[in-house]
Formats: sequence, structure tokens, C-alpha cells
Amino acid sequence: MSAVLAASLAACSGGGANGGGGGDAGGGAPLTVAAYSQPTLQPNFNPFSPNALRGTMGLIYEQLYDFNTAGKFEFMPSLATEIAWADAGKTLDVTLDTRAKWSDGSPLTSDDVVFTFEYMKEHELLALPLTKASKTDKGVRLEFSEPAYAIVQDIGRTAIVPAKLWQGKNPDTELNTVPVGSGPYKLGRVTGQQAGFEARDDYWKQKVPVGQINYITTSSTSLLAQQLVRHEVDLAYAGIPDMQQFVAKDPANNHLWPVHASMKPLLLNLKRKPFQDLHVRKGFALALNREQIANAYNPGVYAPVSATGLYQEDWTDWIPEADRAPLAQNQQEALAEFAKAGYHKNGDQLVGPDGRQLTMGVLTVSTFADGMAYTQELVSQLTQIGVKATVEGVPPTAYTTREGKGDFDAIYGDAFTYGANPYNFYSSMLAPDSKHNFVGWDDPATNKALAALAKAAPEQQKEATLPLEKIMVEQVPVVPLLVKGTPYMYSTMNWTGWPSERNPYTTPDPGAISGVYAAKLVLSLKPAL
Amino acid sequence: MAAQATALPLSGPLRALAGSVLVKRIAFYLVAGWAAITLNFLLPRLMPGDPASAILLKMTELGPVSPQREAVVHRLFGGANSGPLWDQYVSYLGGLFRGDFGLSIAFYPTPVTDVVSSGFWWTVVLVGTATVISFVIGTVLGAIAGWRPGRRFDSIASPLSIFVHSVPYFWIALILAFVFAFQWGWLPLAGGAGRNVEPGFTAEFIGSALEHAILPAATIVLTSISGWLIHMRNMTASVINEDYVLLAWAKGLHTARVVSGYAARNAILPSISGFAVSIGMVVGGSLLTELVFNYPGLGSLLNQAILNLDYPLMQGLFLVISLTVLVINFIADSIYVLLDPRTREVS
Repeated sequence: MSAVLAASLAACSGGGANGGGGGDAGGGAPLTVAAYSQPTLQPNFNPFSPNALRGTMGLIYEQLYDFNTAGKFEFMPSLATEIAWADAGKTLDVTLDTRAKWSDGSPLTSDDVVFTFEYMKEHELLALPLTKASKTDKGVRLEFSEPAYAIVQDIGRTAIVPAKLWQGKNPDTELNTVPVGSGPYKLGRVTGQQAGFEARDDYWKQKVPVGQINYITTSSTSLLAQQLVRHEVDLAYAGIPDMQQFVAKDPANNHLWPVHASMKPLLLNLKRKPFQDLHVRKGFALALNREQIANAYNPGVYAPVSATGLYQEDWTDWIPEADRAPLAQNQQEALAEFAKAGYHKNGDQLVGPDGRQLTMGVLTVSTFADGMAYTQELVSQLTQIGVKATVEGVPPTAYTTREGKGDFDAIYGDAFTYGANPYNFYSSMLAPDSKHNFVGWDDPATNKALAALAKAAPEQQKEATLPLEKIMVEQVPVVPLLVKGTPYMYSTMNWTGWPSERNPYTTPDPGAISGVYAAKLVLSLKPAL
Repeated sequence: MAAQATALPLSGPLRALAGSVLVKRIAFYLVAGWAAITLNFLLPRLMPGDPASAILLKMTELGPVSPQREAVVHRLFGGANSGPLWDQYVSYLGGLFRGDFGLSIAFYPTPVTDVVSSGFWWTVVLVGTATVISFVIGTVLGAIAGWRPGRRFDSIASPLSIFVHSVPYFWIALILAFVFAFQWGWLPLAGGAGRNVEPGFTAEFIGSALEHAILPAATIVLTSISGWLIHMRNMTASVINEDYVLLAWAKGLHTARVVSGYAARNAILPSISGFAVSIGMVVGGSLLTELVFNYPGLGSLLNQAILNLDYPLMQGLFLVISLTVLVINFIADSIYVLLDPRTREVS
């Protein structure tokens, strides 16, 4: 009995509260990262699994390269030192860093890279139109069936695994609990509530400054807020109810940097009346005060976005000057647009040709406090102009189901991610075959513009994006409202050298999006004096 | 049933007992067990949504998800739980008999049995101990309060426990965590055990786990104690007026003997069956308490299973919960028959 108890406790023990528990030899205080907004986890270090624990990418396995979303989209080398396009975007030559070594001491070669691409292709893990991967004297050559400029970031985020260990493994069922990677860390203690990583003293690229990293679970935002204020957590990515208060508690050590990487629009169901009417959509775009919506919850984290959908601060050169500033609220003009669609103000109601008030429900996820607050503000602004609008807060699963079925008037909640270029952003929002085109936009001009952007070489991408921006401004397929701020909160109590608004050398990320981002961050930290 | 009973080669009262109580009970529990197993199968499938979307929504919460990873998620989970319901039911039943609950979706590809066993002992030890403590304390205090209704102890303890009982327990959990862990820092904020403690059967680990269990256990004890207290108080208050208690006094027995042997012994009978139900419910975990304290038990797992539409894990958890309730109730029923002669006659 006691043996069973001990064994199962060993399998499931939890990481608790005591944060930076004092100086481990050589590596300073452990770096504690609130990487999970769930109470428990199960060991899984398979880089091909969607449930791989954070740190699998970046700390243990390394990807080829990335582009810094939080900065100026500059190239970030990792296993690859540079890339070169050929054959009008159908060929990508990747130069590998020859110093790279696996944690078992053997060198990481172009054979491993070719193997990884072929392995992924064989197991249907590759969403790239790759036809062939082959060795070159500097690294590897990747050949595609169509120009791959637009998906350059996705190519770079391929995690490379050692060929000799992965041959014959099934990527769908492998848990890979003893990973051999090329990254700066090896696996430490993994319990039901934390994954620990220990610095490798033989890392091929540089000396690893942080000796011990703990990725911990936190079940609620109120608990996370307490852990942050008590300095039990050095780094967090999930929202807490009052971020400004966290900074105010200890302004010398506590910092907040909202990273703007995606856009949250108001989605109107184009298959339902009256939203198929352009004038109604323009009316909505003009009726809203974006600044006020952004300030409805954690002011300073979200920000108004331009009518093109691109964030004017980051994509300044890409947007024609006239369209850069976010649309200002103008109820007069909004009513004029509604009038063109037959909706007139009658008392305090906006009444349509059929004599009934314009009525809509705005679907949102009830468990996200921030989304609910923004939606409530949005709805109250619509009510002011005479629309009978209501917040439809539903649980996450009901939300995704109703989205998928097109069972909604309007949605506020989906975020569309910018990348190294705006192709994925626009295509996921507007392409007829996209899973996220919930509004049902299907327009030949848009499809043509998307196809052209997909094929555009990097230096032509700005030009090729303009037609899409024009469609956004003139046709309003979705109503761009805010750019989403991913709240990145960190403490300089134990470690300094964090990326910040002033020095955005990497995009803060625990390895959920990109291991290149995560590794760059932890390799740049210095012990606090 | 009667035919089976007469066929048994038993005689007299023993035969009656076996025929009328035990066999009926066993048959009842078999039917209840089948119903529970079937409901476990059906209920999760009545929830809207598909696991792939649920997993993606969770992933986008922390950061953007590339189309490449999205495609992988849809390929792995898009077709989960598809196929005709009857086929799913048959393979589900087949899996049960082999002890195979399938692979969890939220923790794919970890087997459900591994996930459930990872939370099992945390919950059983925490909630089990807390339930026993609150039952013992509540019953003793209730007997004292009911012994002299209206006196000072009763007039403080009874209203106070009704007040505590009406406070939502996650609220008490939040307050305890705020005061003792956040403000004063006496006890850890969250988790099952210290982060730098190697799990195992060692004094260090057990000490750390105990320290982490104090606040969650206190929450459960504080909020559930009042139920036992009020119940026992009312039962005792009515029992002390019974003739057999008067008889005990008349015999000149010592007060302690009258209280324990005559009054409390009868008053506690209904509480015992209530206690059996509570013990059975222990494995269900204490969902809100576990979430507030980030405790790695079955309640936390259940929450994750529901959020991720993890049908296999939900089935595994519900099955463990419902079977434990049935087994404990069966044991309690059987013991009850032996303890209280009257129940034998009723059947």
C-alpha cells in the first residue's frame, strides 16, 4: 500500500509556491515562469505534439530561425544563420550553424534537418507545400510547389530533431520523456505542476546565464496576481485583473510591456440581414469609440487599430498615410451611413425599413473577463446610437461551436495574428476556405489580391498588401477595433536584461509560439546585482 | 428474487437476511453501476463543441498559433469522438473491461489511467482527511450543543455554523489564501508540495505536502463542519427527550455514559449514512477549493477535462467517482444493517 502511494505521489507531485528559493550554485536564483493557466500538466516533450510542454521548443529543441514580431521583423538566427530565396520563391537555401551539437555530444548536421522535414512530411505534420529537402555544402535546400515567401516564418519555426533517435518513432503517440535536443537546457524535475529545466554547461552557442528555469502552473488569474506581487514569479504572459496595480506595488522591480501581435475586430455575420449591407457595416465602424473600448479593462494594454486592420505603430510604412489613424467615432456620419441602408433614428431607436429596431447579439466568451468588459463597452456604445444590442457571453465550447455553425449576429473575441508579413493575417480573416473566416466573406477581388500577396517577393510585399488594405477600408468585411496586447509582466528582482518597449530584441514568449523567441530571452538575462 | 432466496441452502434469520437484504442490494447496485457507466458515456457527449476548437482556443489565449500547428491540432483531434454513437458505446464498454480508458485529449497522448492516477492520491488524502476531521469535530460539537439546547454553547455554535454554512466555500478559500498566504506569508499560496522538493516517500516531501494541505483542508473543514454540527445537534436535542434516555437517568447512570451510550448512539445513526455518502464523494474532489489553491487533484483534472472537451478523461473521472460512491454506499448499507437491528426488519 505505502509503495503504491509513494509511486503515485512520485508520478504526480506538485510544484508549489515558494518562488526563487535561493541561490543554486553557478546559476543564480531559479527563473520562475508562469507558463500555464491550468492547474496540472503531464510530461510530454514531443516537439510534434500540440500538447508538448512549453520549453520543449527553444529550451530543449531548437528551430531554424524566426522574425522578431515585437521589433522590426528582423531576422533572428537560431540553427540557421541565414536564408536566401531562389527560383521566384520556390527554393529556400538555409545556411546552418556548423557549431550546433546535440546534448549527447554528437554534431547536428544537415542530415538531421533533411530528416526532420521528410519525417514531418511522411507523418502529415507539415502544412507547407514542400516538395523536396536536400543537403547543400552550407546546409539544406528546401523546394516548394509554389512561392513560399508568405510562409517564411512557418518554415523557420520547424523544430529539428536528431535523425538517429526519431527514426521509427510515431509522432502522434510519442511522449518523449527523455528528450535529446540541441537547445541550451536539459530536462530537470517534472512534476504534475511544473516542468524544470537545467542549463547545459556544454551548450554549443554560448554560456547559459540562468542555471535553472521552472515553468509552473497557475490555475487562476487572482492566484497569478498574488504570485506576481509576492515575487514568486519572475515572468508571466497571462492577463491579471489589474496590471497597473501590479506595477504600482513595486515600480522599481515590476514591469509591464503589452506586446501587440494580433488584432481583434468586430465580426458581423455577412450571411444575415442587415449586415450584408455595406452601409450598415460602415455605420458600425463609425459608431464606435475605440479608445473608450480599449480603456474598459486594463487601460494601456489594448489600443485602437487602423481601418486596414494593421497596427499603425508597427506597420507604419505599409499603410497609406490617409488610413493610418484609427477611425474616430462620428455618430453623425454613422447615422448617415445607416440612413443609406434605410435605417433612421426614431426617438432613441434606430429603425429599419420594416419598422423594427436594428437588433443584434454580440457573441463573446464568458470566461474571459477582459473580453466581457470590452464587449460590454462596445454594446453600450451601440445602444447609444439606437441599436438594440446585447452581450451574449457563452462558455468557450459553445462559442467555438456557434462560430463554426455561423450561428451569430456579431462576434467580439477572435484575434487575428500578424506575422513577418501580413499574408496569414489577411488570408485567415478573408479567404473563403479559411477556418477563421466566420463572417463568410467571399470576394473575387480579395481572393486575387491574396493570391498575389502569397507569391510576392519580400521587397514587393508592401505593394501587394495595398489592395487588401483598400478592401478593408472600403468594403469593411470585418470592423477592425483594437490591437490585442499580450500582457508580458516581468520582475527585475532576480534577473535583468529583459526585452522591453525600448529594447525589443525578442518577442516575449514561453515557447508557445516560437522557441527562437524563448531561447533568445533566457540567454540574454543577467543576474540582478 | 424470492425464488433465488428460497434456493439458498440457508435457514432461519440468516436466510431471510441474505434473501431480502443482501441479494436485493447486490442487484440494485449492479443496475445502478450499469446506469452510472452508461450515463458517464452519454453526458460528456451532450456538451456542445469539438475538442480541436477547444484546444485551439486555449492555445490562442497565451499567444498566436501558427496555421501549421493549427493544422496538426485539427488532424489529431478534429475526428475525435466521431462515428455512430452505438459503435462508440460498444468500444467504450469493451475498453472498460480491459481497463483501457483510451488516451486523454487534454494531455494527449497520455493514457487516461495515468492522468487519473496522478491526481487520485492528492484528492483522496486531502479531501478524505478533511471530511473525517469535519465529521468528527462537527458531530462531537453537535452532540454537546444538542445536549443542552438553548444554553450558552448552543446559542453561539448553532447560529455561527449556520452563518458559515451559507458562505460560498470558494469565498472562504480566497479569504484564507489572501490572509494567511498572501498578506502574512505563513503558509504557501498554492500547489500540492514545495517546488524544490523531490516527490517520494520522504519526510521532507510529506512535510511539504502537509504544509501545502493546511489551507485547502481548513477550507473544507470550515465549510462542511456546520452541516454535521446542526444535524447532530437537532438529533440529540430530540433524542434526549426519549423515554429510554429518561430510563438511563433513572438507572442512575453517569452523565457521560448517558450521553455517549444512549443519546448520541441513537442520534448519530442518520449521520453515519450521510457520512458514507460524503466519503464516497471524496474522490470527486473539491473542485473550487482545488482551483483556488492550484491543487493537483481530481477536481482540477475534471475542470481541465471539461474545458478541453476531453471525453475520455471525463469518462474515466466520472467512472472512478460513481463507482467509489456505489462501493462505499454498499459497504455502509451492509454495516448499517448490522448496526441497526430495525433496518433488518423493515425489509
